[in-house]
Amino acid sequence: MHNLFTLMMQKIFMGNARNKRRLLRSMVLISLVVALLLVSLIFVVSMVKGIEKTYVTLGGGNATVSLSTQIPSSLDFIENEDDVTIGAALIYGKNGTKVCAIKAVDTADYFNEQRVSLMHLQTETVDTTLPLLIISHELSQTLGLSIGDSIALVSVGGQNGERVRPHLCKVGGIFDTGYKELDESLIFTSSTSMDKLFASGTETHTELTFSSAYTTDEGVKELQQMGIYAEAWYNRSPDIYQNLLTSQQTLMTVFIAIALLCGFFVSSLALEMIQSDHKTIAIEKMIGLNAKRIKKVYFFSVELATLVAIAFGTLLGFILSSLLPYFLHFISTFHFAVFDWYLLKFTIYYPVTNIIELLIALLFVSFVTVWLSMRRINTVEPLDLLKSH
Amino acid sequence: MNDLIIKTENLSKSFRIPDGADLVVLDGINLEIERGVSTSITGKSGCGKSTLLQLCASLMRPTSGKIYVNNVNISHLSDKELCKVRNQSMGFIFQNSLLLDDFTVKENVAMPQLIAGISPRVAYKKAEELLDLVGLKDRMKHRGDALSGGEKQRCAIARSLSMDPSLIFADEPTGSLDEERAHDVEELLLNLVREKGCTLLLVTHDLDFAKRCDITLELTYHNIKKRGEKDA
Repeated sequence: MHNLFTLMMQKIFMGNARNKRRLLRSMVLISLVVALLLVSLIFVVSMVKGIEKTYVTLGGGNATVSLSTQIPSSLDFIENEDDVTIGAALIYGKNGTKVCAIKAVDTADYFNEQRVSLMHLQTETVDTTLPLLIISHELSQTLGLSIGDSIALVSVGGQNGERVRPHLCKVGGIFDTGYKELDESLIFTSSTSMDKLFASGTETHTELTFSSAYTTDEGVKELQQMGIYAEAWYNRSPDIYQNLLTSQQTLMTVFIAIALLCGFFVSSLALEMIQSDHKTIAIEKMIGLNAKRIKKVYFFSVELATLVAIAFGTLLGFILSSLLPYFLHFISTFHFAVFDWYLLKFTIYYPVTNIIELLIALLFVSFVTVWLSMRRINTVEPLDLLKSH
Repeated sequence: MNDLIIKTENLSKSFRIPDGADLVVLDGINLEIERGVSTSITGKSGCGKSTLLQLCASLMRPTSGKIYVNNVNISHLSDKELCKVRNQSMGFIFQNSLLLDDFTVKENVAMPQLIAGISPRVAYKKAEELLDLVGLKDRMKHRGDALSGGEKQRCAIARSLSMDPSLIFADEPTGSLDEERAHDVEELLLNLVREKGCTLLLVTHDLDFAKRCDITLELTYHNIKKRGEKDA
């Protein structure tokens, strides 16, 4: 035996096939929109985090300190501490030329398990006395090179870049982080080779990589508290950081706008329901049910349907997001040009705060618009029934 | 003098028609209905008898004048207060029975009680008793739209009695039924109204049905007059 509220809600949901179809259709639509929004959001945030991680791990660490800085061994959040030298060079391959940054590292220490896995490094023993370079898969494709091939390098040195020296080198390895923007302009070599290639015009510093439990901000702050001046990666490369930040914020704004539209759509469902139940509402008013109580029932029914749809959508979104790596791997095998500038290999990151913001925006708009659309109930009069008959 | 359950003073109602002019349907009507008495209102089509019933039933507001129901002037009550008055002291039967199609017959009859906040157990039990009384006990689990015309009217009668109201408003309750069904519904309505001691305000074209009420009134343009009274 149902009380009035549950009885009316039951009839709204299950009263007739038309209502059921309409509700189901709307709920499926809301669920799909929510799921796609979450997948897109998770994709974008994970990709940005992936790019950041790639940049931090291979590009320049979370922060850099000057070579002479003594880092206390008690700072256990610092995972890697690598002395690196950076120079600029022009590379000549079979198919073209490219200006690249040459990064000299202590190859034994630098290419640890984490980095090798991230950069999918392939190396072969090349029997030569020439300097060995590790170039990206991207660069190897552009210049038409493979492991063991000879490569001409023109180093640019001197205070104003006036000292230009040509060198013959060999390709000793190929890496592929999946992040084209980094890959196409980065070459690794050993510190000893660097000394042969550049007499001057290089910059040397120590790169610090923090453990995943620490953000760049936290690590830099802790170092500064100990009196160590560390420059965060986003201060060294503000353009890249700003690009990532702007992309993420712009897309978040678009996602919230779509969520708001979805919220508005819920109010159209409410209006459709009221329109369809015009006769029922008029009879209920005739036999003494006031508009406020009718509004309450319709409001809760629509919001319950919305909440259930959002819950399903969220679940579906998480399930689809967990399948993203497989999907992206599948896509990457086709080498579509449109994905060239996207990182297609990254760990899935669930931005809980952003997801909550998105869902709250949707719910809030649906609450407001559905409540406003309930005013339509005021216009339904018992007399409408008698007139129509 | 008997206790009056409905009293109107200079009751007028006009409607704005599309060309912008006002169409006066009722003008200065003074009506008195005694408690516990069945009263029928007859009159030519368009004379305003349904409008008069709808005004007394608080389904529309007068243009001017006062309407007293149970000594309360309902002309100025809020929509919420009118809903309460309709729920607790009025029952309605119209030509098209106006049942809630998606609800079962039992739920339709229990609805006024559920609206009043009576517990579902009590409301459904009372609905079963009323449906038994109108001969629809075997149809109580069927949906409202599955009933025939006569059954719908009997269900509407049961619903109108659900809250033991002091007033029943019936507007052409047999208008859409064949002669045999119409007679059954007339019998049922008049008997139950007498049995329950309700006041009936009936609007009908059917003069035979009208004459079976205690008092018969005739509404003509701007005027209402007593046409007959049954002996006690």
